Amino acid sequence: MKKQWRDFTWLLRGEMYTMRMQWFWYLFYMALNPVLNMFLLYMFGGRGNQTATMFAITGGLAQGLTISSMLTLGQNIGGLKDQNAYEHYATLPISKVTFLLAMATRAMIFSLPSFVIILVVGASSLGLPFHPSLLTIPTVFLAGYSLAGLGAFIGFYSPTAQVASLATQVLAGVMFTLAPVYVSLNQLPSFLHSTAAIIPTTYVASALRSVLSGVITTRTWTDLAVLGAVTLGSLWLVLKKLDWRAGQG
Amino acid sequence: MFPTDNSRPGVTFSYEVKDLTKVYTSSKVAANRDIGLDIRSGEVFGIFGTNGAGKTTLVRQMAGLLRPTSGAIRLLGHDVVADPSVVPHFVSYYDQKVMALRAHKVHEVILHTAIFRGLSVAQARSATHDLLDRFGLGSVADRPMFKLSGWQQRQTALLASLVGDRPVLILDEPTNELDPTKRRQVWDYLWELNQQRGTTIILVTHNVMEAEQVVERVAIIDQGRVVALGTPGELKAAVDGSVRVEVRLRPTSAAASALPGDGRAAAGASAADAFARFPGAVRLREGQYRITAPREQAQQLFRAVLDRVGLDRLDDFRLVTPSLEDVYIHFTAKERSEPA
Repeated sequence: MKKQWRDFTWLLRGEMYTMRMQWFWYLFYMALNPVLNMFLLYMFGGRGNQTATMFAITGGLAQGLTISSMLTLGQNIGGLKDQNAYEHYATLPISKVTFLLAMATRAMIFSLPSFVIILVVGASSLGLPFHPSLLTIPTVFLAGYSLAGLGAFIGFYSPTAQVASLATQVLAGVMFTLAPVYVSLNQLPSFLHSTAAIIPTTYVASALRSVLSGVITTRTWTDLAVLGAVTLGSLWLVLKKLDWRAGQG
Repeated sequence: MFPTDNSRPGVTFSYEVKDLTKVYTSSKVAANRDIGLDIRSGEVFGIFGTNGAGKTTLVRQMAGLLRPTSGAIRLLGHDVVADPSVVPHFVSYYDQKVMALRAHKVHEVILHTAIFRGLSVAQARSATHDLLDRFGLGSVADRPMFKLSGWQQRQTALLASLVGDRPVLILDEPTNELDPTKRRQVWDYLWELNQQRGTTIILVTHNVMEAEQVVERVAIIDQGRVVALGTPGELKAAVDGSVRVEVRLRPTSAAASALPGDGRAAAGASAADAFARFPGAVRLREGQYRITAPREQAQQLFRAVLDRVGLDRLDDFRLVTPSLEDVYIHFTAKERSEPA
């Protein structure tokens, strides 16, 4: 475990080096993205409907956290394969799960400033009753890790980085339009009610609405338990089913 | 516990490869066919072959990066096909493609690799510093990889493969794109690693002439098969049991042979005549001759040249056995000429 933790910290450090190449776009993204989100929120529900605004804000936060890790894992692993850096890691005595967690953590860290800006601006300018509980911290982590395994599978099995990028974006669309993330379950067509239950973003958005408003219920714990199970299950699948080796070619 | 060869007590093996076949499903091409190799612990083993012969496919399977279609690979007794995760604990692998940890600085690539291979941070820093100094990359140590030239990126990746004291090194074209001085540094360092630490080195290269100086045994691969296996001496003997004496006369002697009437010509002409009388002597060009003789007559031939011509009339004088490159060309050309 000590070795895994040490590997994780050094892998995460290596992941953070990407800022050297992307710092301008990262700053641009951090500054622009929350503003655009705010504008979107205002257009959708900022004109009097507090519930709709709450859904829109927590939906945006859920999207930022989950999608950033899934996109990062999918696109980065695909990219690493293209650049031959992936094999560099495959020939080192590090575990796949540690490698993926470092990537997912980097994605989460990169999305945090945007998360905080949306939260603060949302609360102050739109007058939403945010009273974040301490459960916000594990919720943020679980949200970040919940789709990391899925992103890893896409990255590993996509033939190129471009395919991985397209696949993750298509899947992201499914995750947020077919689940009660930006809108309540009742607003979704009835045929989506049962499928929403198997989409992890349903639980991410629900948990965020709960922990950020400070109202912790049984449903909150259920959401967190489901996210924990999805995270552990996907990492277990990564460990057992993903092979560093290429079998085709 | 290292595996041993029962027929040769005391011999231990780093790799045992048996009946290894790899067929790429997309192209249906058999890149490796029934390959069998035993690589002894502590030896420098060369894998030579033409482009597309299947060398890289072979070592990628040995490095646990590619799943074989059939066959067995054992690394220090561990089954690599069943459990490739064991490989990074014993093997360091350098790939001929440029590794692109683009945002890392040069020293970070080596430092991180050393830490992942189990060195303490202090040990890793020290090893990184030593390698950068030794190979003259200290001046770019703090530059990110994306700002380096291709050969600098390659050399950084090579240094990363050398850090961490793995007992087995697999190096696929380690001197590509390096200038002669840097290639010399690499060969010297590999030789030191092998001699001082007993590192097993598996070397894939086109540069047969250079590799000949360090390899102890060689496998020549052509069209996915091992077509020759042995020490350089064994392979050379199998190709050609003869030796060659190559001679270049001093210009006065050579010019003299073309001017029979000149006063100095007598000496030159007699030198040329002396060569002409050797059985198997061939005049290559003005003043240059080659004499071929059976290997067991090498010493006799050597003496005869000195006695009949004299050292003072010779500008250059070499006793040449077939090179490993001759062997390589012989075996790969032979495979092409034989019907399938």
